[in-house]
Amino acid sequence: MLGVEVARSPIDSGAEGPDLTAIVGLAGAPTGVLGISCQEASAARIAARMLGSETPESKENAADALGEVCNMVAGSLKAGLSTSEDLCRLSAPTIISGKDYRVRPILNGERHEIFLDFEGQPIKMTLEIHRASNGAGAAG
Amino acid sequence: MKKLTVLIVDDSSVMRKIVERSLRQAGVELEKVIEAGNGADALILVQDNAVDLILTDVNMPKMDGIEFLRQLQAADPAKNIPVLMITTEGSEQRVMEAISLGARGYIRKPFSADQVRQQVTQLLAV
Repeated sequence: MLGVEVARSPIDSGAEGPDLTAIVGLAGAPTGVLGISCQEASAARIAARMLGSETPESKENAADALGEVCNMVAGSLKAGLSTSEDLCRLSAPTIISGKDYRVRPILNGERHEIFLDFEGQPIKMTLEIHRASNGAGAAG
Repeated sequence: MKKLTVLIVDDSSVMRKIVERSLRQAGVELEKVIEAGNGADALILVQDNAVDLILTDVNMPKMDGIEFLRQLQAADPAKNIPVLMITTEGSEQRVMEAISLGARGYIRKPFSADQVRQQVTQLLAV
């Protein structure tokens, strides 16, 4: 849908760090939180790619597009990680603007963090996950 | 194929634009495109417009796609409008629920214009 290849980057090479984060929760088996962060300018270019426009999109569309990307990645993760997709539900995406925040998951689980290179700028993807086998760890 | 009036239902405005773009890329001739951010708003729009086709997301605030389908089935003559579901979630239970409530097809995000063309052509040929 983006029509671009993103390469895995060994480290966070962003000088300024991300200022826009999209979060989607997984509830059931597994339970967790997926976050995708990047600079707002990168999100604006992601939105432009998705909409087929030449110029970077507005702040509103940038946040919306990053949320949709996070939603689609969470959907793929869910399909890959859950024994049955019926055992896991996704939340609607939440967008956080700014750099100064911390996510503290209630459940103890695994934390995975990778950096991707999107047109020379970093995208950070974080997954906090608790692999409950029977859905007992499901949130609300 | 006649020009269609299409209702696109998704809480993401970017995704609504992508769906419209995919329809155009797929060669679907559009008379009018109407947009709603949730099922509740979509129910009002189908009463006020002669809609030929509905493409709807599942996970939405206020009223999700499944409840929208349920309420659409109770709305005459809007219940006869063909509906395609577009969502990131492909659980068998959700798909079966949508089909049992009258959905005629299912497209999983991310999707290509080809997938949209295939589904829409199939749907309107019936």
